Amino acid sequence: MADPWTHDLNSLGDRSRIGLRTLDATRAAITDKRSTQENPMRLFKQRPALAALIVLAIVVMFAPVAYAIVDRLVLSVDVDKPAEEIESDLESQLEQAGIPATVKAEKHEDGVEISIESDDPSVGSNLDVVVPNLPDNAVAQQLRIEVSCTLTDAQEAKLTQALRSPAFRGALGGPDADMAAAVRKALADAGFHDVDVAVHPNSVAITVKSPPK
Amino acid sequence: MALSNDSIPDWDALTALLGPIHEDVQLFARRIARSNAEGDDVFQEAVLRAAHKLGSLRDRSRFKAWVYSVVVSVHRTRCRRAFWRRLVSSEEADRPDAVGDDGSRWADERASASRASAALATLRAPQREAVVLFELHGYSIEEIAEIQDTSVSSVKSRLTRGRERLKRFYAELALEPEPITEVCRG
Repeated sequence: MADPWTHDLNSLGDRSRIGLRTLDATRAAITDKRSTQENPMRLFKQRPALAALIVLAIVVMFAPVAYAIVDRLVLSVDVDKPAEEIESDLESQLEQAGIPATVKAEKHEDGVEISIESDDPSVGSNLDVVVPNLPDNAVAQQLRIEVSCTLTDAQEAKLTQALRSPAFRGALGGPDADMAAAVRKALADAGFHDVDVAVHPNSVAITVKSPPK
Repeated sequence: MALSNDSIPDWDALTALLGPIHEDVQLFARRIARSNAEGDDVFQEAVLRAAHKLGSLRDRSRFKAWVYSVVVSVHRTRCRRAFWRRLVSSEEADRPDAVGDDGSRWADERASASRASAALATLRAPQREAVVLFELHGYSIEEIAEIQDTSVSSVKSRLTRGRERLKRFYAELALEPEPITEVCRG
């Protein structure tokens, strides 16, 4: 008797064949990416229409506990620096503030993505990021996701899928006035009805309070 | 063919060695990642790293296991640092379907593949790699041990635990009620 996942794995195997790249295409993509990574400043200057989008996701996942109250911490990020320096700068700032966290920064075509991952429950609500030296047309957005309930592995996978979905990303990209409702709908459609969504001028905070129904 | 010992990428040497297994390695990257797009990123990064480190590979006959191990290394690095990327990715989950005449079959296959991807996502990276290499690529436990740079007993343990987690995932799916897709009109 086949395992319950055999059919699904075979489907995954088949679908993973869709749109495979040739070796020449892979090599071309790599050499093209490396040439643009050598001078990230050139990217921002040559692509003013894209703006320098900084998405900061602070993810804190923990079982329901009381928040520790800490002083507000302002982190300064210089997006002109290489990714490695951004990482070490932020980690240094966090360490000085007594907050254990791992920082990863990646520069992409259209901006810098910074992640601060911590299981310190005090990190989520008392962290602000200040970005100096932004180009005039730059946009800095902060996305905070907190899970204040216990999720099973399957439920966590479901939340992951929901937050990766085009519907959720589309909701984030909409006008501020509609964003909270759109984000709630995107998550509700995935079964997560008990969520708080707070939209601020440059940040969105989402708290998942209960497992999906 | 001499293998370069320089850290400068030797694309020609790498291309010659990678050519015969390029598709298999790319498929592996896609299957352990959470989407084809993410898998392509992993594969690309792995190929770049392999090009730089090719000089360190003394025995050309080990190239296949070696390049798979580079993919494993890149994948695990991304897993460790990319927690939030699991939640908010800038990539699309999949390329558009070639629906054709049998649209429902494609939809079923896509749902089936998504379920597999979600199930594999519940496994730790070493377990996921071992399960994919064993179930989808047909590698032996000894070959997987070489790729993952671990012992045969570790691979057996990873496969056992990986299957246990998959079993739990599917058991929970079986307990969840099906979403209501039709309204019964009385």
